[in-house]
Amino acid sequence: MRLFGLLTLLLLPAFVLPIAARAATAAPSLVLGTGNDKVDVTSRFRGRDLLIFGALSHPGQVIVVLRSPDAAVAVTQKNQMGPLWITGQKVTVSHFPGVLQILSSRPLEQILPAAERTRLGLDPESILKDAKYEPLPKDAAAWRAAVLAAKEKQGAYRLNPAGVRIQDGRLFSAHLQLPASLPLGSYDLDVYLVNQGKVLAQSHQTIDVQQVGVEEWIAKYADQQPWLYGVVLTLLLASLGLGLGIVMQRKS
Amino acid sequence: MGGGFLITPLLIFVGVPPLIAVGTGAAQIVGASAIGSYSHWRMGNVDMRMALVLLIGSWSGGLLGVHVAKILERSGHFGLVVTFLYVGLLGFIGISMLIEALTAVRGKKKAKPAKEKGSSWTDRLPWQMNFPVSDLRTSLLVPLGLGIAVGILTALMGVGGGFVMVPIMLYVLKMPTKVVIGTSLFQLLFTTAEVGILQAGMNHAVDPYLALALVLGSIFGTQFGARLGARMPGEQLRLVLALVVVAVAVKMGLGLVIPPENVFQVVQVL
Repeated sequence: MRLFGLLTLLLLPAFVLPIAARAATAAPSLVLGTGNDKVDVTSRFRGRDLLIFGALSHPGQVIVVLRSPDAAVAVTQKNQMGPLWITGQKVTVSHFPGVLQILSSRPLEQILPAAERTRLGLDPESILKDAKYEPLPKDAAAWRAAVLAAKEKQGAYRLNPAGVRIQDGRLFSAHLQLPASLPLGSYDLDVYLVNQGKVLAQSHQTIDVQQVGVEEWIAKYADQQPWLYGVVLTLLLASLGLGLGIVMQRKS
Repeated sequence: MGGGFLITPLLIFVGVPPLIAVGTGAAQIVGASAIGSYSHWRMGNVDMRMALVLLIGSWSGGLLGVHVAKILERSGHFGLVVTFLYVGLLGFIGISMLIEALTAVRGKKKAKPAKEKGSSWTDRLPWQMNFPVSDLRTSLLVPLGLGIAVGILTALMGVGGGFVMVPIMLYVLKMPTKVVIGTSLFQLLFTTAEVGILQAGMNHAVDPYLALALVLGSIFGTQFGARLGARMPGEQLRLVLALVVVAVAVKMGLGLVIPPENVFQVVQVL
């Protein structure tokens, strides 16, 4: 798949440059391609690289944003009680993107004014601004910081001001890195062409992250029919144990 | 013993959320104990009447325990309770194993427990009942209470409870050893099956891939271990196991007293 992506990247100038050259006087635009628009999650999924590439009609800087559907996390806080560290309050934080990757060819603050960054949702501080806390803790800011830190550590939130490579002012490419644990669904991929603090052109695409095959079937089944799932799994484990045990006893 | 009391803490150490570790730990014992249970049943080592009374207790205990687990998990305290239970339990088991193993390695004679001949306290309880296979007459309340305790332990700790049941059957009820092994295996198979189903149904706490891997591992591991164990002196083997148990208890205990790097713990909710 990656080979295919690279090949396309190499062939792209042949198709795009004449168009881009013609369009240079027309409205700015950008052409976006991805190595693949589908990510299959199996039980062996350990994260994944996504190649993003495209062509620009006008010179400028490029910002690539990948945003996943909303996720939820449970956060617990430990409090000191005598010599012991005891789990205290538990807060469920929801309604914020589970994965957010912002890659750009130059640091964001150098290419876009703050107001524009906030409008496009590129401000790391604003990622959790619509998040819901259940129950609402006293100092929500500390909990928000904890969620942000955990997401960054996990690789779900990534801000790379040098993550987009521009070649000849016409072609760009970027590597998105999906973490091992990620929400499923339709991810929004937005690419912006920016010049002198203004967005000249933008392109949107969705990338489907989905569980496939047996994994999807089992996950769905375990979630929707938990009792039946429990009974079937237990019977399966028992017969597996019994069957293998009998085979091994015969052998020895 | 099923070894469940080591599997669940190890799962927690590698980062499996405590409730999933406990639920999956119980479910995998079903697979791991199926063959032993079947063999002992075939050999007639299962006291069915005793097993049924135990099961009535342990199924009630399991139901209660899974409910408690659900309430604790909702308030965010399940992990803490599990840690406390394991520190206490493993600390106790590990130290008694260690003392026993050390005396055995030194070659001292094992102190025989004073043989009781007269009536014990269990004879004075109401609802006396005969258990012919175990050659025993005792109150219904003893196996019932034992069952409830084992069921709660299975639900809250993901263990089979053999380490509680076997000593009590041997030393309190004074059942014959082979009946103790057969009956306890048989009842823990059905107790863990019940708890596994409840944990999946009520708490979504059984991971299928983890459970399968653990069952496969324990079946092959038992074969391998049996061959290896045949070549190693039993006392030293027990000493190593005792040290492992104590080490796990200490590691869990340290988790309670060492200031955490981060006071916030963030867990993905699916």
